[in-house]
Amino acid sequence: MICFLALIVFGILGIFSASHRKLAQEAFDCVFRKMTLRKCHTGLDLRLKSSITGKFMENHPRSAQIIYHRFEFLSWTFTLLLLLSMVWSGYSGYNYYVYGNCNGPSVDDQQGLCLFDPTGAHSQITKADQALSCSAEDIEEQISGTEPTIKGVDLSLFPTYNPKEVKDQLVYVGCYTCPNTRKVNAVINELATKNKDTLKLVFVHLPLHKEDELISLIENCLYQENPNEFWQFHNALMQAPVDEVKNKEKVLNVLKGSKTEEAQKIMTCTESEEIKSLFGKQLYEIQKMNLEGTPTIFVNDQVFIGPKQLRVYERQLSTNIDWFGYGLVGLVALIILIMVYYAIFKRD
Amino acid sequence: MLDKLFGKKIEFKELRKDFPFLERKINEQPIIYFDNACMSIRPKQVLKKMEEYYYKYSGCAGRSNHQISKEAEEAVDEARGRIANFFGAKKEAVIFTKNCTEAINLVANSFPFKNGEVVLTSDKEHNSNLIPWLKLQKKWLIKHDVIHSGPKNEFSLDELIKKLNQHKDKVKLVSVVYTSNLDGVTNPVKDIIRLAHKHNAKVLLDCVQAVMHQEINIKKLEADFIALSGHKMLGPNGIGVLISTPENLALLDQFMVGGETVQDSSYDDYVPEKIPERFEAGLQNYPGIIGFGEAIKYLDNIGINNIKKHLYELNEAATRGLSENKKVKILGPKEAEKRGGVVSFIIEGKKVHEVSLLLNNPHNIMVRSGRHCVHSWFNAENNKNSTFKEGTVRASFGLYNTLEEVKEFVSAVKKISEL
Repeated sequence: MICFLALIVFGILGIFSASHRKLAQEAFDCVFRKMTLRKCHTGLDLRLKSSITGKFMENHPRSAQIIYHRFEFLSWTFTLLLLLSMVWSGYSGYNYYVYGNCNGPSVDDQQGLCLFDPTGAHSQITKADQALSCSAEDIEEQISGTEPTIKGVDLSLFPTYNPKEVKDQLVYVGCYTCPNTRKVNAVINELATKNKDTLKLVFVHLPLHKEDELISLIENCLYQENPNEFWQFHNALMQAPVDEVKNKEKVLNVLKGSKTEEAQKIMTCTESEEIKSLFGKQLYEIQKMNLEGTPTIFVNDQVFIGPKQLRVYERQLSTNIDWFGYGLVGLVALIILIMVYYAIFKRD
Repeated sequence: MLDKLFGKKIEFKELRKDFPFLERKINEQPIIYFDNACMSIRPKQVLKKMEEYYYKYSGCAGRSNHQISKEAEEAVDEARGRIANFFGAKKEAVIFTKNCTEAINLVANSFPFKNGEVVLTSDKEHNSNLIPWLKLQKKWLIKHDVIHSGPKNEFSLDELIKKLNQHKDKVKLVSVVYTSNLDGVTNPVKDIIRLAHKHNAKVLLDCVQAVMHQEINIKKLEADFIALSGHKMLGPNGIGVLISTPENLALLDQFMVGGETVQDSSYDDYVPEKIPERFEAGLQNYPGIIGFGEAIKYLDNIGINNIKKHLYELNEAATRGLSENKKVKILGPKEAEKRGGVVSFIIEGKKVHEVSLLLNNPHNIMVRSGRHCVHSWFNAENNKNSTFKEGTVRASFGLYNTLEEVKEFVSAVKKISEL
């Protein structure tokens, strides 16, 4: 069993040293032979046992004795630990590939360390409970441990892009001043562009600050007036510096940039009771979503917290073909076939 | 008295200075080299002599007329003469080969066997003195038979007589090892030769393990052929000899032919060269031959009997030390004097390769473990279930080894057995 452990250890050391590379090759040969039900001829296990025992013989004879007599047990223990660790690593890799986070898709999973994303850049969110807007005081405190959801939420209240043939739905909860929402916006745009004929896109603005409320009102007016103008304004705000988004005058300038002559009309609209009522309803629906922060993105039934990579969202679309996944399965199948071939036709 | 018996007194510790190899340290510790039955170490005199060939006269010996060629020829001739003298043979009866194995193969492939004739070997032969005969047997050229050891695992002359009588006049060659590389036991070759000759059979001795501690004189022994390798007696790798008498060599057909083996050739025929050249095909290993000659000179200066005595002292100390350890079982006779410079043993409950690896690291003691190329003995029915079925750990001493090293070795074995 020690050969399996040796393969991993020497495989890593072999990156830096030629002598370890040779040992790694020997260990690989041994492991491959054992996995294909053949006898291992290298004697590497014996050499490792002797070498490790020898290291303790002079100064720690008792330890040497334990290692010598319990070597097989110790090998099995460490190998099983390694296997567990590998399975765990494989599971983490799968999670990272599928959910953009080693630990999984849920809210709590985002907190753990992920080696593939050591800075946690793809799991960072701007917390909703830390910076709720004043007008959002009506939103009841989030229930800790409960996952975000869109079940029972009236999404028709929010700005939506509806293609002719809807195959998938993406609900994008974000705020314009949140750095992580701004980070993911380009990814969402790319996804929406690539799937413009089949992907229904809903944008839910979560006003985390007082000044953000105006944006919600403007958005509602704009969307009612002309949905296309809404998406232009939305992207312009996402690309504008955060300071400008927080400044009412600057936001108006952005609005004028997209719809100069009607900016005043929109501002008047924001004062209307109808729009304010809509905003209230929206806040009520947002409350039902049990959001942890922004960005929170729902692709069909799967929720993603934090700015994930394009492939993560793409994998959830019914139109997507997962070539990487198929390739991986194919590779594993090929390795198994080779091993079966060696086990049957290349016996000693 | 002893001085008279064994010649001059030699300070073996002083000789270590001649072996730069022994100065080597591994993990900042000196090494203890106890694998002399596999390969001996070369003194600097041998290395210098070989270097001299490459630096000063690295030409073809006996082929060209120029000064360099003549110098090479003289050096090779001198070495041949020295080897012949050392083994009590005539110079022209010394044939250079690649090693002992090739020397035995030369006899196997050139001896005038007739179909159905028998070759006898002992049951403790190295593969080099077994496989050539098995190969001939597979070709239906000879019949090979084994002289099984007696109850004490020593050569049985009774069994030899039995086999000689059993096969009547069909036994043409008795090919036996002089000293076993497995357990160090020396066979009663004088008696073997006497009995074989009585039945008109020739005798080939595999002397490779005996040369370091047995005075071997082919004339005195009346052996027909002796085969040995240079690397077992302080000489370089890749050189061995078959030593015989001109009369016996005249019986042999040529084995390998080509350059140097013929006096003349046409498109249809060739005239073989005289001995020994007729058996030495192609360009020879001149530096090896010259180095081997120098090794013989070195050994001759010390005296084989002195070496024998020294090796006995070492083996006696090792045997005594190991015998005190109840977990250690020695293969072969208990008396060290019967095992030359070899002590082959196992530690109960330990794999032999483990023991040799643990001697190597951390103790820097180099020994060999396994079946020592005598697989046939381990595969024999009697030995399949013996204590030594997995092989043995073999410590084999050289003239440069010391009693202090033996003590360290015994102590290391003790530590390993206590694991």
